[in-house]
Amino acid sequence: MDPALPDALRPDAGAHEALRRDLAALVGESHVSTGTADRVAYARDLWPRHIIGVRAGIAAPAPPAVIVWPASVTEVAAVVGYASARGVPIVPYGAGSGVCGGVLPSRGAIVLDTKRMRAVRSIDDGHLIVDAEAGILGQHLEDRLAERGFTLGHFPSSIYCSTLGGWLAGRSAGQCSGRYGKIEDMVLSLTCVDGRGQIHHLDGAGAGRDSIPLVVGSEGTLAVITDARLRIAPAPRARRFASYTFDTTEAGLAAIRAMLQAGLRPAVSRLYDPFDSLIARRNRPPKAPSGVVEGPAASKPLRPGVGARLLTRALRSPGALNALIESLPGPALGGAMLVLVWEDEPAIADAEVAEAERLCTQSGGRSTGEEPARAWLARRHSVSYRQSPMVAMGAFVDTMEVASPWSRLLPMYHAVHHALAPHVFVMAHFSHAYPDGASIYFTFAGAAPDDAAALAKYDAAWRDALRAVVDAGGTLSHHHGVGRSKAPAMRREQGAAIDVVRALKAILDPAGIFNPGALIGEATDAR
Amino acid sequence: MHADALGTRLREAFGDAVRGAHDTLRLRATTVAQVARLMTLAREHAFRVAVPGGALIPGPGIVSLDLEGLARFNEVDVASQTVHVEAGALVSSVEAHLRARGLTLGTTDPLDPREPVGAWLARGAPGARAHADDPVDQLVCGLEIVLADGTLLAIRPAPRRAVGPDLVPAFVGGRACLGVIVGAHLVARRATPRAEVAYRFATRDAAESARAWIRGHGVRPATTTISQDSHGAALQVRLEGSHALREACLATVDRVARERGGVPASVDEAHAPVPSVGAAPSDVVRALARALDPADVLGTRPPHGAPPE
Repeated sequence: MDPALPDALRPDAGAHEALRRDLAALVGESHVSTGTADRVAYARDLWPRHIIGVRAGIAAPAPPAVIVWPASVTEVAAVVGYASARGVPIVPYGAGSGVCGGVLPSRGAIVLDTKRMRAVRSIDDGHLIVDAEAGILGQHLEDRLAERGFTLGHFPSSIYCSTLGGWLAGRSAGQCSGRYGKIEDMVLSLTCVDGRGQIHHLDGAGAGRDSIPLVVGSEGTLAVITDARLRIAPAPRARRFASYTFDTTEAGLAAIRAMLQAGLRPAVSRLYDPFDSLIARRNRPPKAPSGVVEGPAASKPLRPGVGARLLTRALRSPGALNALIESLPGPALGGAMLVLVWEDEPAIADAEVAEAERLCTQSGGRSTGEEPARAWLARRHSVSYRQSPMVAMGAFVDTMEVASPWSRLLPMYHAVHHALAPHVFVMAHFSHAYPDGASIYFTFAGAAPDDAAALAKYDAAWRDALRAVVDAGGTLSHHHGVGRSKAPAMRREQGAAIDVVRALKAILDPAGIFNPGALIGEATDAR
Repeated sequence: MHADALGTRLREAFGDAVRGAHDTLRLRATTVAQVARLMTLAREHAFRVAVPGGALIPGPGIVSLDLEGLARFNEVDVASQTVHVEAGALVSSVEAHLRARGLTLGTTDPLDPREPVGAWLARGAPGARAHADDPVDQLVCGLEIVLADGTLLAIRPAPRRAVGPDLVPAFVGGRACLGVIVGAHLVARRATPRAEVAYRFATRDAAESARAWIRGHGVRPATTTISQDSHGAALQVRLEGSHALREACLATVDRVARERGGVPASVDEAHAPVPSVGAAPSDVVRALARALDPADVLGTRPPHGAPPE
């Protein structure tokens, strides 16, 4: 044993070895690990609060005992059955890209990584259905479909580092949700393993109609999803782009609402508030060929320097900065930018573009041509990769995606803005629209003299913002899920629904082994 | 509890709201609190409650819950194109209310003028537009339910959410096995001119394939239906929206339908009757019903000695 290991990382030699040996008998010797590096790597997801902890030197506050990689639903059932009989917690794990603390194993837990289950079993080109295993990475699934001329149409910014199972567990949304819907809109059937190790095949055309929605979104607390059949689409024959600038966020929202309620379905409709528009305009690639999607390597990292130090200092007192930005009229910052992308049959796309032009102009929009929308598409997966440099220079960054009906959207936008403003610098865009409402995606950044103060500020920002969301009539999450970051606020929004989900958990996971503390762990405030 | 004693007990609690006697006891509830109180009493005194849209048929020892007095609907939320209605409101009245404002629920067929919203939703909203036709659209964005223990569960309206499992499908189409729907936030759509086309296919499978490809190519029909007879199957597609958009979608529908072996047919020929009742609850939902309603107030379990469903 390495004497330099912190206490938290020291394996419990007897117990962990027994666990490893038993699990190896179920899935094979080479598919189980108690190695320190693995236990550290699987001790968390990308919850920014964890990242502040890592910066403070706490890489893995409670590392799991063992990581196991089953290759089939039968092996998953065997592992779960084993754990259930012994009361050992299991944390189902996709690719760890979640940002809400959905993965936070307790010491002694089993992390069940699904990535060995990554087959695309079939593509039914008659009925446009793909049958895939849950551990496949999003981009790999999309690549396999593209080879056959199809698309799932699900493009979260985490597509390179998230799995199908993770998408389903978290009710994920992709950037083209306006055309294809969220992941729960695509799933037709699924297989999962409950907390007793029993396998369920749920078919949406039959009795699974009502039970698939109970498993989807359960964030690994009710079952392990092992495969799913999903609706796919032929690769779009045409892509069209349009962009508009509005003097105010309100005017831009009115345009999006008018489009959606008129039956238009742009795959992408993203409206940036004036300050976020300013940032978005500055982030355009200078010479990106149209239609080419850049990988994460293409993003330009921020390097700590004088500017970074100044920014960090400014972020320590965000109130003044927020007030200054808010006091400026929208046009002074260049206005609110709307980017629109269609993926359709050419005739349908052209008809929608023409109708959108009319509705945007009617709402006071000024066309800025195709370029801003094309530029957005070229860098659409890059944003997430810009957060680490901010953390490296001493700040923290996080995002919060909430939703409400249209009538409550602007009041919620202002309420959350005001709740966050004393703690962090905040901007927002509106990125998933429906006939009855939309989602707001807040991005905020803060800094403090030390990591303990940063954590306190981070927690206060979240606490106040979540309260503001619920009080304004919104929902706590549109597509990131709840994890542990929002669990303490769940009852405030969900009320008795929490007790129904708990009753469901008692049925599907009577020993309570699945992902304890996540989603409905309202009493367990990981903060 | 004896029927007379039960009637007395109910009248003590609800006064004139209780109608009938003996085996025909009925509570005409006008508030959600009354529904909750009835559930609590049912559990305490071991009687069952027959709910509109539920599977339980009124009879001895069963109190019928009449929600006709719980039938208010609020002013339409014009910005969100939604309306909050109580469960006893008639679907046809809601539709008339919406039509007066240029909106519609967009159902496939004329609505049963006597059907209340709660019962319609509990039966799975037959005739409602299908989510698969337009994944961005939804009919129910919020729901209020009284559970068997009298607890009010309110799912606040939201266009989409990611806050745990979606409970709405367990109630909409759940035949009231988990609770009584007492209110709903319904999403309307703009009432626009329609275009309808139909195609006949050799088999139902071919019609299903054509529908999948029509949706896949980005056509978002208002509704689609497939009917089947001894000669094959017919696919009917109803389109809404601006003239230009309808025309573009019609062209795509025509091309795809013909590519998949379809032949144009008359719309009347393709008419499919609306199924009256949705699928039975799954095993998981049945188990949840047992957990939430251990006294079987809502009467969703087979009687002793009867074979399991």
